[in-house]
Amino acid sequence: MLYVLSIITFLPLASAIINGLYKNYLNKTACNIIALSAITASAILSAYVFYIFYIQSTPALEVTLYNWAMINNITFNFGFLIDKLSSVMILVVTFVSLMVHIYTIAYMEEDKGYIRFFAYIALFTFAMLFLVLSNNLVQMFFGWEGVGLVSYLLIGFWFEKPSAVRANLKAFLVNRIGDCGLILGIAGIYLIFNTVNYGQIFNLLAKPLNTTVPLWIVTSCVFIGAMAKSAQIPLHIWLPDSMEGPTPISALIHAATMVTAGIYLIARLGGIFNLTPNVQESIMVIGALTAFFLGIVALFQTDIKRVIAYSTISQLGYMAAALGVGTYDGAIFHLFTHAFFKAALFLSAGAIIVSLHHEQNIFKMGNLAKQLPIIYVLFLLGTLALVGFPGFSGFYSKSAIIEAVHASKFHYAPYAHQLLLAGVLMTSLYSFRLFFIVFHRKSQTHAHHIAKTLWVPIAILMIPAVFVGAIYAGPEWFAKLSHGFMDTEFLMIALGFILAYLAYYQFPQISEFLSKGLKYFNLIFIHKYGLDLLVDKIIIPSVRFIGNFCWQFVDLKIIDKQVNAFGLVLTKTASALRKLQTGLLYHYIFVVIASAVMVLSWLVKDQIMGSI
Amino acid sequence: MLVEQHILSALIWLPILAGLFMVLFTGSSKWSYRGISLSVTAILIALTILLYLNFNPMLKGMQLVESYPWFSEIGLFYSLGVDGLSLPFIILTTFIFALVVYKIPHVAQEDLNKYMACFLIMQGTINGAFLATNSILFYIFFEATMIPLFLVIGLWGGENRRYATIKFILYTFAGSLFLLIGLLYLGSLAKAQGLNNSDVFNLLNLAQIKVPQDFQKILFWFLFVAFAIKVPMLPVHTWLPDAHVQAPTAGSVILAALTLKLGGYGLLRVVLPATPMAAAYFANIIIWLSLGAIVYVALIALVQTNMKKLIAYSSISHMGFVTLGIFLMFKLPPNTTQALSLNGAIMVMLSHGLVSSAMFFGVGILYDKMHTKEIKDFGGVAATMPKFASLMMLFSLANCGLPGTSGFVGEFAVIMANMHTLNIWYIVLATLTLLLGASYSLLLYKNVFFGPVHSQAVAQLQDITWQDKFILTALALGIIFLGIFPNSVFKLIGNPTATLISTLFN
Repeated sequence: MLYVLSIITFLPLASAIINGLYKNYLNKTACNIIALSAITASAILSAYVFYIFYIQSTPALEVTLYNWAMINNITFNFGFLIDKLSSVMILVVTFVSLMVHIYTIAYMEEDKGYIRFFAYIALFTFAMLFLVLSNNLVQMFFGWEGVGLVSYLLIGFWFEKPSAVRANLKAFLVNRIGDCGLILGIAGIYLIFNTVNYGQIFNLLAKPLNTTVPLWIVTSCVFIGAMAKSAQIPLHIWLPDSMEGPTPISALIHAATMVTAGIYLIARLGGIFNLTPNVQESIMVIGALTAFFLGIVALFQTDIKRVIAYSTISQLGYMAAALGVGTYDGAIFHLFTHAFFKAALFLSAGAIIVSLHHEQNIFKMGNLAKQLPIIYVLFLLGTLALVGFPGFSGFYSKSAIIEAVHASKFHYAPYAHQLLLAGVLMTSLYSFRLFFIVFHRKSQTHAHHIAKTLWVPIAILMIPAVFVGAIYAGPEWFAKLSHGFMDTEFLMIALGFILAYLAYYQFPQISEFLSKGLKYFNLIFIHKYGLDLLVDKIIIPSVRFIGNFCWQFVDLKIIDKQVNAFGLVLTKTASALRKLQTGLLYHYIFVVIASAVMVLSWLVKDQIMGSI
Repeated sequence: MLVEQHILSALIWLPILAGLFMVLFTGSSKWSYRGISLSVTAILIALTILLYLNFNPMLKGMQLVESYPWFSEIGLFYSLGVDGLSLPFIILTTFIFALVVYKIPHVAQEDLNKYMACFLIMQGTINGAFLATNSILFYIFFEATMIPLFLVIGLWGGENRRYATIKFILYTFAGSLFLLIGLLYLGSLAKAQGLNNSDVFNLLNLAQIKVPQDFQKILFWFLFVAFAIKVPMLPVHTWLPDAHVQAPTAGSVILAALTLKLGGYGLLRVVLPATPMAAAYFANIIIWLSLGAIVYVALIALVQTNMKKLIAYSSISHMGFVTLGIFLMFKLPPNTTQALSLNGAIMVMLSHGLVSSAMFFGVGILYDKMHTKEIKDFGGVAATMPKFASLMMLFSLANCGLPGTSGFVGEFAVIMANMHTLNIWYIVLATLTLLLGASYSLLLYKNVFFGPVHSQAVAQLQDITWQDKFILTALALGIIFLGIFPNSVFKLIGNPTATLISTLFN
C-alpha cells in the first residue's frame, strides 16, 4: 500500500516538475499527455484505495515514508495514514482535479501560460494529497502551506494585473494569520501529547490527559488555522478576491478542495475537539453566522464568480456548523457533495465567461438559456444541488447538518439552527437570482459556441453532484426524499425561488426599487460589512506607521545618533593625536589594533613575567 | 596520509596564501586571476568533501585535530579541530565562497586580483574562526575576517561607503576589545586554577574554568557584546543595513551568509560554556531583545524602500530567531525540548546563510542591470525575466519559512520548543514571524516582480545568464534539500549540541 499511496501522491508532483522545469521545451500536446496521464493514473488508484478502505471498510493503515528529522530523542517521521476519511478526500481531490485538468485544455487554450498552469494544478494536486494522506501534523502542515502557496501562485497567475497580485498577497497573508494559529496548535498538541502522529494522539486520547496548557487553547488555535483556510468569519475576506485567478482553479482550489482543508483538519482531530465542548460551540456559532451572513452578501454581487465564491463561503459555514456539533461525518458528507456541485457550477460559470469573451458581470449577461442549452441544463442541475432540492445530493448532506444542529444540546444551538434555516432561504434566493439574471433576463448578448471539452467535464461532475447524496444516504434515501418535501427547508427553498422569480424575472422593477430605496442599507452588504475597508484604511496604514516610526525615529534618531556622535569623537581624537595622511579606514584599524595590543600586553604581563 | 592530517590547515592557509600571492603578483591578465581563484576554489571543494568523508558524526569531541605550540609558555597554541557544530559551517563557507568566486564581478574590472584576493583571504580567515580550538587563535581569526571585508566595502562599495565602513568598524571593534579582555581574563583565571598550559586558552575547556558567580555577570557582557554585534542583535544592529547597502553584491553575500554566523557560533562556542550561570540569569533580557528583533525589525523591514535594506533588516529579524532559540533553552523546563530549540537555532543560521545569499545575489543581478536598488524603480520584472522570477519566488518563500524549504525547519523547531515555556508573550511574539516574514518578503516580491511592466528599462531587461542561473539554482537546490532532508544537518550537530546541553544543565 505504501507504493500505491506514493504513486497517487507523487505522480502529480512528477508531472508538475516536468511541466514546470521544461515548459520552454514542451509543446501543448506533450504537456497534456504528461499532466493527464499522471492525474488519470492517480485518480484510478485513488478510486481503488477508496474501494478498499471505504466500501470494503478495511481498517485504517499507517505506513512510514522516511524520517524527516530526528533531534536528540524527538523524532518526526513522515508517512501516510489511510482510512475512511482520507480515502474520501483523495477520491474527491483526484476526481475533481482530473475534470479540471480536462476542462483546462480548452479553457486556457489561448493563454501563453498554458504549460505553467498545468504545472501549477498538478503541484496543487500533489500538495493537497500530501495534506490529506499525511499521518502526522507536521507533514500535514507541509501540504497545508503547499496548497496555500499554489493558491497564491494561481490567484496571481495573470501577474501583470494589479488587482490579481493584490488579491494573491492578501490571500497569502490572511492565510498566514491562520497559520500562526495552526502552528501554535500543533506545538500545543506536541506539548500535551508529546507526539504529532495522529495514531499516537488518538491512542493517548483514550487515557486521562495530563495537560500543562488547557486543551481548549490548543483546539482554538487549530480552529484559527482552519478559519483562515476554510474562509470563516472574519478570516473569509481573502476568498472573494481569489476569484482574480483563472476559473478552473476557482473550481478546484477555491471551491472543491483547498478551502475544505480546514474542515478536513478538524474532522481529523475530532477526537481532541470532542474534549473541548466550549470551542465546539464557538465553531458551530461561527459556522452558522458565516452560512447566513455571507449568503446575504452573495445576493448583492454583480460578478458571477463572486456570487459563487460567497456561496462557497456560506456552504463552508454549514460544514463548520456540523463540525461544531460533532457530526464529523455530516461535515465530510457535505464537503463531498459540495465539491462536485460547486466545482460543476464554477466550471459552468467559466464556460459562460469564455462564451462571452471574458465577461463576468452578470448584468451584461442574460438570455443565455437558448444560446447555451447544455450549460443551461447543467447550471440548473448544479443550482438544484446547491440549494438542496429534495433528491439532489445537496439535499441529503445539508439536511443532515441542519438536523444535527437541531438535535444539539448546546445553549446556542437553537439560534444556530435558525440561522442555518435562514441560510437555506438565502442560498435559494441568490442561486435563483443568478440563474434568472444570467439565463432568462432579456438582453442582447451573443454567446459563442463552446467546445466539447468544456462541457463534458462539467457533465461528468454533475453525475455525482446529482446522485451521490442518495447513494451516500444508503437504503433510507427514498424515505428521506419523500420527507424532504414537507420540511421547513423545502419551504425555504420554494420561498427563495418564488422571491427570486418575482424580483429578478417577472417584475425586475422590484429589485431596482429595492436597490435604490435601500441604498445605504445595500452599501453594508456591497462593502461586505466593511471588513475590507477596515483592513485597507486602518490596519495596513497603522502597521506602516509603526514601521516608519521604528525606523525613522528609534533606529535612525536614537541609536544611530549615539553611534555617529561616538564616531565623531573618535575621529577628532585620532586626528588630533597624529596627522597621518592615510585614509580613515586604515587609520581606525591601526588605532584599534594598537590599543588591542596594548591591552593584551598589559593583561598577560604577569604570565610573561612568570614564565620568564 | 599527510593530506588527511592537515585538511584543516589547508582549508585555512591555502586560500590565504593564494590571496596574498595574487596581491603581490600584479599585472597578469584578468583570466589568469580568475583561473587561479577558481582552481583554489576547486581544491577547497575537494578538501571539504574529503573533510566530510573523514568526519565521523558518531564520535564526540574534536576530530582531525592539529595542535602545535605557538607561545606555549602563555598558553597560545595553534590548535585546530572540527566537530559537528563547525562542520556544517565549513561546508556552508566553501559552498558560498565557491559561488562568489565563480560569479564575475561587475565592480572590479581593473583590480580583479585585489578583489579576488580579498575574498580568498576572507574565506581562509572565516574557516580559521570556525576551526580554531584555541581561544586566542579564534579571536585572531574572528577579527581578521573583518579586515578583508572592510576593504571590499571600502574599495568596491557604493557612494556612501565611508560612512558605512566607519560605522561597521566602530561597532565591531568596540565589541572585539571587550571580547579580547574577556578571553584573556578567562585564560588568567584558568592559569590560576592550575590548568596545563595547553588548556589555558583551550576553547573546549571553557566550561571547566570556574568563574565566581558575581564575576560571571560582568564577564558575560564582555564576551557577549562582540558576538551580539556580529549577529547583530537589537539594539546594536544599525551597522548592518548601511554596510549591506554600500557593499558590493559579493560582500553582502559573505556578510549575510557567513560573517553574521560567526556571531551565533561564538555564542555557542564561547559565551554559553564560559558563563552558563550568567547566561541563564540574563536569558530573559536576551530573549526580549530577540523578540524585539523578530517583531520590531520586521516592522522596519516592511516599510523599506531600498531592496538591500529590506533584506538586511529581514536578516536581523531572522537572526533574532537564532538568539531566541539559544537563550530559550534556559527558560524551558528541565529535560524537555532544549535540543529542539538549540538545533532549531543552528538550522536557522544555516538556512539563512543560503537564503540571504540567494536574495543578495538576486538583488545584485537586478542592480547590475538597472543600477538602482530602489523598489519603486521596479515592477513587472516577472514578465521580462521569467526564470529569474521563478527562482526569486522560491527564495522569497524560503525567506518567509515555507515548509519544504530550509527556512521552515529551524523556525518550526524553535516555535515548537517555545511552546514549552508557557510564556504567552514569548509564544505570540515569536510566532508573529510567520505573518511578518511573509509580509515583507512577498510585498517586496510583489512590488518588484509582479504588476504591469514599470518602465522602458524594465521592459528591456534580459533574463539571467547561464552563470547566474547556475549560482541561483545551486542555492535553490541547497534550500530545498535542507527543507526536505534536515536530518542531514541534525545528524551532524546532534552530538555537540547534546554535549553543550549536558554541560549547561547537568
